[in-house]
Amino acid sequence: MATTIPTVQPTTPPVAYGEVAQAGSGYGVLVPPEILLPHSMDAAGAVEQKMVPVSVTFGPIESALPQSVRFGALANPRLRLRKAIPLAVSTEGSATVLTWEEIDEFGCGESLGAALDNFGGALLELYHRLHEPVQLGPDLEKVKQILDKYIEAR
Amino acid sequence: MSDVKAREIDIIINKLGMETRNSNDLHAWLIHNGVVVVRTRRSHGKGKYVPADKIRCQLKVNEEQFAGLISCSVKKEHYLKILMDKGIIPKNVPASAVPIASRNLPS
Repeated sequence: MATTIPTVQPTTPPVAYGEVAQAGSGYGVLVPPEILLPHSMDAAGAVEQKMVPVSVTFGPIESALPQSVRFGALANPRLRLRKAIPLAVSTEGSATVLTWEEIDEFGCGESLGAALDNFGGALLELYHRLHEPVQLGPDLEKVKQILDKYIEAR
Repeated sequence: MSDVKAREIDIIINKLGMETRNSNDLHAWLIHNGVVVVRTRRSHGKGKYVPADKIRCQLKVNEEQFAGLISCSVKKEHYLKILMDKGIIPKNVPASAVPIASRNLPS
């Protein structure tokens, strides 16, 4: 009995597809891209596949971290943010570092969430200290004024 | 600079006689003539990442001066002069601005 093989019309040139664990040369399967799509799963098994040598080179892994975030959650019910605080995001080794450059404040941690928590804690400590009845130098007085643009008592 | 240890930040804090407060982090404040002029902090915990460059910025010094603070080639007096030259410490703090507790009053 003859078997009917569904025809798949590639819309783009065939691609080599394979699973590789590291950069280098190996073997993959030459398949048209359509069979990688869910709607053509029926055709996938019927398409003639051909083993071809492939060379795979990995580029640098793109970070999932954003370049900046806006901090908007103070962990103190007596204070509220007037507006979100812009933070630059960077990584140092395995650490995530957040920087509020306007006042040289930072937060760091092993994840973005941990760095945000660290920043939030430091921000509250800074706010409270600068609002104690103490004499501030010109730099910290400026920091206090900037903080007051972003944070207010409820 | 990224391999600075928490212990080395403690050297700076102790050398400058900074007031410290423990909360989530160790917060340190430099008080000169009763005026709070500079602050910094470091995380608790062994092996935690120390953002040395951020701490350096909070202390208002360049990389060479920061290294000197750690290695003891920059003394407290030298550091205070750096801050005065940058206007971080006012050169003439009026006596009225200095809290009574900080003044040298005759007994």
